[in-house]
Amino acid sequence: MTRNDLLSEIKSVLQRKDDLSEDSVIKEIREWDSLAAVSIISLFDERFGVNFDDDAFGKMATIKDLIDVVRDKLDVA
Amino acid sequence: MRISYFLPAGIIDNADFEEVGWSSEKIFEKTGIRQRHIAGEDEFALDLAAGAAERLFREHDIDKDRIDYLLYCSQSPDFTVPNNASILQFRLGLSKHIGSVDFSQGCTGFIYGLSFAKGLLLSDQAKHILLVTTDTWSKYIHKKDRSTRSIFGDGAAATYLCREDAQKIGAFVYGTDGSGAENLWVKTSGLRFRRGDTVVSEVADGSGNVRTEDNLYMNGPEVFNFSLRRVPEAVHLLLERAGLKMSDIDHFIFHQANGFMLERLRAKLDIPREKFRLYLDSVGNTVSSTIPIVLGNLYKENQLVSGQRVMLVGFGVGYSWIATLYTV
Repeated sequence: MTRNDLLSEIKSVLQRKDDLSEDSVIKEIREWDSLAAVSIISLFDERFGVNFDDDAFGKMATIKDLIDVVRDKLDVA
Repeated sequence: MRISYFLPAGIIDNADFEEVGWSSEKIFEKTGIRQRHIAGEDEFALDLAAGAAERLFREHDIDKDRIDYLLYCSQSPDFTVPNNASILQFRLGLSKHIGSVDFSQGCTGFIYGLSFAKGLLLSDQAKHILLVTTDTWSKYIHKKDRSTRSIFGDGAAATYLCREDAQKIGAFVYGTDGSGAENLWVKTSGLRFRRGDTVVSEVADGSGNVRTEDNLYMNGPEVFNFSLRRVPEAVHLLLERAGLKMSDIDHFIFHQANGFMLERLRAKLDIPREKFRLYLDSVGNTVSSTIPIVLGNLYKENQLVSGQRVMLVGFGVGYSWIATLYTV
């Protein structure tokens, strides 16, 4: 999976109609509520077996920060 | 063990949430819950507890005069002083020559109760234990907080245990992490943050849920994250301690937190659906009673066969987590 693939998956999980880029600021994403966060956690757990650190979401600003959590597990495009 | 449970008559259906603009189908999709029972204005944890205990005595033909120890678990107690177990002793007309104690746990309450019962019974301190779990978390919840209102239900369960039952309760795995305390709490529920006369202000969160500091607050994503990390770890540790494999377990009963989380845990642990026991669509998350309610139903439906191994796993508020094995 590449960064772009993961970006598409995130967009799909958020059920987002508008475009999403790595620069998108998490706090400004309309669809990002606690249900979305739960779905993201589930996605990362299922795909990468990755658990977030405590308060990880609190420290993330952009979608890039989110994708970076698993950057070592992604293929280079 | 013998188990009975009691649910208050009041019901909130997902359709009732439509009037505050929440989609009934979406709630079911996200939580696996359609209905929850809610205690009336004048109905409290002690009332539900008494209902469950009286039903237990009746349904299982138990002589209440033989009860020599009462364990009472609630995080929505009628009182903190005196303990509620004493009041229940009086209300049920139990012998005065008994031990009785309250303990505070939520999602891990029933299994903690089993651990205490096992200790008391095998050390000959008690012969006939009544373990009660009872919660009315609805009374903490703000009516405009969908995150909690859609999930929690009220209820109580009463369990009778004797020495023979204690011998069937196996190894335990315990976990405690207080760094998660503020992710699932009622901030003013004790003395530390109790207000004087200051007015309590309502605050809306990013998802439009409204609550005050007197209400239950749950950080869903954090609690979910915690569960995904700790539950699989506890399951594997328990199997290791018991010298068993996943395939040796006949029934898995996890704390019925919500359908989405349970399904993620089931899939992650690769537990076959037919062994993964669920019962929450008509009762919701009854906190300390979720596990005994599932167990009680399985007994009633004759789905538990002597010799079968049941894994019980509780996790949540605290953070607290616990797991044990029970041989039917």
